[in-house]
Amino acid sequence: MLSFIVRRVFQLLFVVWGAVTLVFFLYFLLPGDAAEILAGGDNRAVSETVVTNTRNKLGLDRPVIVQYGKYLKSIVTFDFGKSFKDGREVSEIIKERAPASLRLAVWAIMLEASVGISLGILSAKRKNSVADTVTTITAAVASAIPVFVLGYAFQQVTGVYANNHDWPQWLRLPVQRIGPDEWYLWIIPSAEQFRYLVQPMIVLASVSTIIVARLTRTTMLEVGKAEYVRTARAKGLKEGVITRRHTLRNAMIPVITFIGIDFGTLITAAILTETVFNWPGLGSKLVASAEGRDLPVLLALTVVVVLVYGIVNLAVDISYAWFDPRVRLAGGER
Amino acid sequence: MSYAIAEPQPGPIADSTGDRRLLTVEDLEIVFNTTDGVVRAVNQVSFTIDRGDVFAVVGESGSGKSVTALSILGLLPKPPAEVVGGRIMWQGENLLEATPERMRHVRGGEIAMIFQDPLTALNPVHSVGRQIAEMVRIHRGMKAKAAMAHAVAMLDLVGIPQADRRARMYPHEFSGGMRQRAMIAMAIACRPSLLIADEPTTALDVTVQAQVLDVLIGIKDEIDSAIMLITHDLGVVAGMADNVMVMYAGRGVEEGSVDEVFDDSSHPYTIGLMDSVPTVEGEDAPLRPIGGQPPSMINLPSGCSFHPRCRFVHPDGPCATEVPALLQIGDTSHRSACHYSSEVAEIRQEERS
Amino acid sequence: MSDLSNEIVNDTAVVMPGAEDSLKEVVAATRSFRQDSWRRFRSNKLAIVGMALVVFLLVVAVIGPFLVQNPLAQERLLYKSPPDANHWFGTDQIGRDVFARVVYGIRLSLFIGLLVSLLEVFVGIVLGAMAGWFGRYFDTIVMRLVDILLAIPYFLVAVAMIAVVGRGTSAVVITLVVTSWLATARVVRAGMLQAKQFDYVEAARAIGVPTRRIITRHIMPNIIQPVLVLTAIGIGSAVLAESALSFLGVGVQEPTPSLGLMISRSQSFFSESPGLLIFPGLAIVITVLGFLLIGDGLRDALDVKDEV
Repeated sequence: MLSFIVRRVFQLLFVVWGAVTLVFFLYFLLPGDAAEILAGGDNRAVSETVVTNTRNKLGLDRPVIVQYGKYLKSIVTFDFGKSFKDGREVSEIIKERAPASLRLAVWAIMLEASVGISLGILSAKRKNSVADTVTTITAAVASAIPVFVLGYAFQQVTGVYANNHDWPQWLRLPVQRIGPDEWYLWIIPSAEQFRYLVQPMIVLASVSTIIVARLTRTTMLEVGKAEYVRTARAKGLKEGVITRRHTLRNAMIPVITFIGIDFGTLITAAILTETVFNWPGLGSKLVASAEGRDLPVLLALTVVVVLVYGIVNLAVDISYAWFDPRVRLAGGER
Repeated sequence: MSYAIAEPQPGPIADSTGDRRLLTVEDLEIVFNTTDGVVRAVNQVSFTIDRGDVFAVVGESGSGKSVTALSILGLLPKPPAEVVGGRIMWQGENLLEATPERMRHVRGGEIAMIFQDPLTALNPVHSVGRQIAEMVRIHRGMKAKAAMAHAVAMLDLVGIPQADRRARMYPHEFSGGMRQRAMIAMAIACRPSLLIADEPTTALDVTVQAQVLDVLIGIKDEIDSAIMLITHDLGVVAGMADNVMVMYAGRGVEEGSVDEVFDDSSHPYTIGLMDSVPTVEGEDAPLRPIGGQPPSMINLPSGCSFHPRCRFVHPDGPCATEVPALLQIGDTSHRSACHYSSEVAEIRQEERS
Repeated sequence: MSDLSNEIVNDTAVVMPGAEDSLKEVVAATRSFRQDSWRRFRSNKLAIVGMALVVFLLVVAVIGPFLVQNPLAQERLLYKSPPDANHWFGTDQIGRDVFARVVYGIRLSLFIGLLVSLLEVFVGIVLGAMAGWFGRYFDTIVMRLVDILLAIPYFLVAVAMIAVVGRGTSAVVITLVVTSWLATARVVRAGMLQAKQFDYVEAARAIGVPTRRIITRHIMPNIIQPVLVLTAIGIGSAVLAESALSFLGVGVQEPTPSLGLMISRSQSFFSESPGLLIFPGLAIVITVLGFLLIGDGLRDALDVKDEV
């Protein structure tokens, strides 16, 4: 088990290195002159001297390789340097943005897991009933809706339309930004905060909930046909016990795995949702730093993204061994 | 073996009527409603099993033997499968009319079943001990610790070494033969009166087969139960069974004691089976496979289902038109479903001498 | 009747008189797997709906341009007008006919979706199969590459592609191909690893069948099934991804009508003209839905284990 973990950690480090290197060199392939953009902001004509100064100041005049070395070193020491855009410490920026993404992700995962799994189990139980077909159709349609369309639709309905048509106050949900940023125990939102949280949370979780529901349904049905379920029945167990202890226990393995991996994806790829709702998280910062050619921030975010994704995957793999005893002895005993 | 084959338990357990009859299946008829048509899987099958018996059901794949076994415990998937006739009398009660709660009590508690492939038949994520313990927790209300201890005892009973360590291991950590023994241990945990074994040794090596069969016999004697053995392996039947029923195309075509059916075969299909098995005694007669194909279960041949492949067939007799009844031969329990059973038996005797 | 018997009899010893009827049954019952799957697919109502949607969209994409107005023409005085007889979906904020733009948008989405799918499946199969077959170093290299690419949000890859090939459709296509071959490759590799162990592969090797032939004739047909499902669903994903990238500004550029771009550009005007959100949004949904349903239907139809 230990060698397994060590091996995976090394793999992860390699992946981080690979990703950072890739992004670094891509940065220099971006159109336009980075220094010019950084110096002048949006499309204003900037004098040569300002551009050159900027370039020197930010170290962009050094050979690429040298810059690469410098940044690699800084990443290893976790000193990401300062943002090109406003000179703030990059680590500050990350510390500022990360909680928003994390909180949104955690809530989205909880929604996705609870609703998704319940729907899936229900669907599997009443296979081919009216409820099942309706759920399947709704699920199919829902997964075809782009996240940003859903986001805007929500905004229009609860924000704009509600205001114009005088809906009760509690139903008029705020549609932009994070709101008061009030949280208890770091993760539980105040009532007002929840009003800001609920829409991005639902929108972010929407696609994954569908996938979880369908995956659960599929695995429940598959496992239901397994031989050992028939054995359980032959032992005289009650149907409920069979479902819980035998079917569910086995069916949940791939589902939990998926949810685990999805957590990493949610944190980092909530770009669309954060953009639509102006939620100040890592995703929207990623977009901004790419457009603004803010190399240190971009690189730092890449490292964060890749690391988080990798660690979550590793955790999922390790816990997989706990769930499924067949995997535990991989590489070991007979 | 670490269990003691002591003297047989005195008398049957809690049998109010005092006689040894356990199971009576009468005219069982089961069909499957498929997209291609109605499959008549089991057609007027009848047999009885007494306590202490080893009753074998022999036949090719698709002959209906597994379906029969599953129907006793009500394990057939009810949408495609449908029991359309007959009775399954278990100690005086018709299981086909039992309530679901009653069936749950019967399954595992009074009748237990072991399946062909123990690797897929055991849950991979629970330890073996836990799965065995589950039996007594459900049926006898034992608490976790006591149940686990009982599980260990059962594993010991079937001859698994270091039972207490093994109980905490998972199915995939066992070898094939040990897995099957673990399944047996699980099945007998509540001392069922009838043990149904569906192809218990088909997935095992020959040497391991013998061991597992020994375990089965030993257990049967130990808890004074009966065994219903489903198999297509005649050798296993010869070595283990007291009585046998040969099935073909969903029907019982010959039944009786093993000696009667094997040595005194009176049905062309049985004879065909006997002839296609090589014997060690070194007869020089060539192997004679049964010609033709197994019948389509949706469109069975008219009259006797076997007649298209029968080498004793009388073309102008009732073979193609009338379904032969299972009739008694002589004055024993030996029965055969052939219009010409005595003639067939005689020809057979001549051929063998 | 006798030729039928001969067909079967080549393997069996002898045909008993009177057995011809049973033989007929046997032959009739052995329908090919393909026919069976097709039958199952046909009876899946949702899959049929999916096919209908896709066919409808293809018709729109092919014929549409001949029937609609110029999607780029701006009628200055008519901007943000609601749907009417002249402009079925109304006009956008600079006066362009929304209906025409949606039609062209669908066209673009389908084009990109199909192209991306074809390319990524090809890359995925080649790399995945090679990784699975050769194993060892090649396998490790491919899998590490997959890991790295997976860890990078495709947004960044999109930005990079723009740098290499400039903004526009080609950048989008390359980005999507680069980020989506991963799933296919994994599936193909897994299938290849499994298939390598099967006896029929051993058997083929034993009689000296050349490796390439083993792969294409024996293993591929078995891997095709999940790949087929992935492809169908992949087209839907590609359409979604393209709309997302265009929405973020790193996909297709103005003035080319792209459904995602239309939505992001008209963002501030939704309250006045909800059609600017609804029509393109609906178009995306229908497109993705069609392929999704087909993919699901394929998955159910090809799954042998479900049969009674």
